[in-house]
Amino acid sequence: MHIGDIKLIFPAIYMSAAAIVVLILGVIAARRPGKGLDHWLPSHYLAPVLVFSGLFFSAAALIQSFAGMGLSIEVPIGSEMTRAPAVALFVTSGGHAQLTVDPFAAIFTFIAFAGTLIVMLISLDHFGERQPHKAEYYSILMFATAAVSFAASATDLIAIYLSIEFLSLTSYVLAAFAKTDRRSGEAGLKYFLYGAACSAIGLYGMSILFGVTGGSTALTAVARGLEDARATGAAWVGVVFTLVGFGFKLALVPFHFWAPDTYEGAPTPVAAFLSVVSKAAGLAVMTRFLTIVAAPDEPVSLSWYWILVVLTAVSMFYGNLVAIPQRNIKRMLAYSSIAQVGYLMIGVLTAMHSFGGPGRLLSGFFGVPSAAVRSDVANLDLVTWDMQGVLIYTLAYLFMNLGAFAVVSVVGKKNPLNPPLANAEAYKGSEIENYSGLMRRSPFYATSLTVFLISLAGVPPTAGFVGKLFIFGGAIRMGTSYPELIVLAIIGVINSVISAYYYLNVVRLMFFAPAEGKSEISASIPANTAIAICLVTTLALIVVVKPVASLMSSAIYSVVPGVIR
Amino acid sequence: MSHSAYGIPITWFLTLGAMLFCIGLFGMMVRRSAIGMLLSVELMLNAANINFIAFGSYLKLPTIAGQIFAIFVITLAAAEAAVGLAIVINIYRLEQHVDVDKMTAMKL
Repeated sequence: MHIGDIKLIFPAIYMSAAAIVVLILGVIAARRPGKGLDHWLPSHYLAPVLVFSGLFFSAAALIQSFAGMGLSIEVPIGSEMTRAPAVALFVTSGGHAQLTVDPFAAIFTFIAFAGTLIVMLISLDHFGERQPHKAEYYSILMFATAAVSFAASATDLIAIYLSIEFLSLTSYVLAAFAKTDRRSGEAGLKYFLYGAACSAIGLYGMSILFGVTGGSTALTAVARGLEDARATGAAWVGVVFTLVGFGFKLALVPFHFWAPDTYEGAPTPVAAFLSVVSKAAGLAVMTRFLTIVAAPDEPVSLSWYWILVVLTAVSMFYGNLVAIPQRNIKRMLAYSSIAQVGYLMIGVLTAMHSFGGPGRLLSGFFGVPSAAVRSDVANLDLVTWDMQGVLIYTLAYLFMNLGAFAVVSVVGKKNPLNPPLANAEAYKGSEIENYSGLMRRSPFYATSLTVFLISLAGVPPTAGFVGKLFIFGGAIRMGTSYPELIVLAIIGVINSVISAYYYLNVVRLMFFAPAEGKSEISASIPANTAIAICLVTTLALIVVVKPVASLMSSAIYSVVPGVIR
Repeated sequence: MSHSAYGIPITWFLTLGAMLFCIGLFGMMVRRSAIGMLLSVELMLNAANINFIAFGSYLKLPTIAGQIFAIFVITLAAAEAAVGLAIVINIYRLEQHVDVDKMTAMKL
């Protein structure tokens, strides 16, 4: 690789470097809190500013990756020249790469950066300026964001494992960050134990994949190796175990057990981060793995494909039905996010079918694109009911879920200005009954939360509706060849109706129940800014859907190297 | 897959790996102490390492990808143990035990 190629992963490198700067300055400043360096350059202001400038770098990388899309370069490996995608980094013989910063990866990087910025604004309000170990908190958050960026571009089992573990290790620390809170410690421990076990199972699966494919770690090489090894049971075990590792990050049923406890116990901004940014990494890796490695037309892989289809349906039903009786709003949002992953998985499965397995991939990558791929690309209108749904829904989910968590953080934080409500002993701040009459206490937060919740339920004209339209529309379009996708789309619509019940229950309490307290809820400017950004984006996505969808549709085609738009 | 120069078939290594993995998974399910579960995870990670190294050396690859993967995993396992033990110590300070069955601060 050329040293100039570094510019492709510059956002991730920048984010890691910025995290180190925040950490070092913060440690120096912590010796004299409130004075000197801590007064002039406090890490809780430095970190958001650095992440905000990182947004521009990630936008620049997005443009770079679109410019390099479909192009290939000659890379010297030893004495030979190898052809590889122009956006590939650390190329090995055969044109396989550790990292591929295609538009798909760049969009996930941008989503992660934007999400982290909003999480930081929420944190600023939630923890306040006197937060202990704030430099460590903000720098770990930035490291986790860099890990998401690496995970989104990882196209090799080693890179995938390392970036996912990087993200996991930072997330465990964040979940357990409130050191004096038993619930936070418990959240961190449960998250850690489930995470470590699932990633070990995933790693074991990768080691089997490595063996049965004749020693390949690059996803494109694994796909080729699986062509021969597909009939063996070992290959099946390898793929399924690897998917367990990804399923944990997504909190897909049955790897979701950590989610409710972790979301409830972790500090609210951390729960917001875990539910959106960390999940985006799992989604990116899952999409890439399935689109490159999967071949649903083969009999053996069919069996794990059906497992995924069933888990997608079960995730939606389980998440939505268990969310109904919840009394804690963070727990309710945790179960709702399990259901949201079900919707996203419909999009992933649709995207997976759009490439039809490694046969078409390999003819596209190691030669000219196959006729089928070319006709797909030629038919691509600016806005098609296609498989860009997973990206559009991720974008919508980012803003609506972060917005909901932002309001939960503001309402639930321990603030002298928000005295405990009726029963001081039982008051935890995020019980759903605390939202009674919120409209009379704070119309802005009540209205915002209403918008976010109806968006999560998928009511037009919100972002959630747009995302679901593309997910279900794409599934139904692809369903002409794969009828199970139509079934999943119907299950998704039924589940949207179920979810409306518990989302609207909160809205009902806010608007029609008598207020328990009289005091107005106050929040600092950063939290209000975060809520306003989420509110505007949730409402405005439908206006800009056409350019966004065309951007996303070209991005999703970049997942498989060699497809030329 | 052929025998190596040492005369031990690869299946022996793979069986050892599979056994370690199963012991780890079993320990993960029956152990109630967080430390015990941490130990079980290490077993599972090392099971994968044995697989990587066995495949890496028996497949006669042009690269050493398997061995490199194993080195990365060893490094990560150390980092994971550090983070995990830090969390466990913090829990112990707050609750004076590390029994995951007794951790029921959050239940519906």
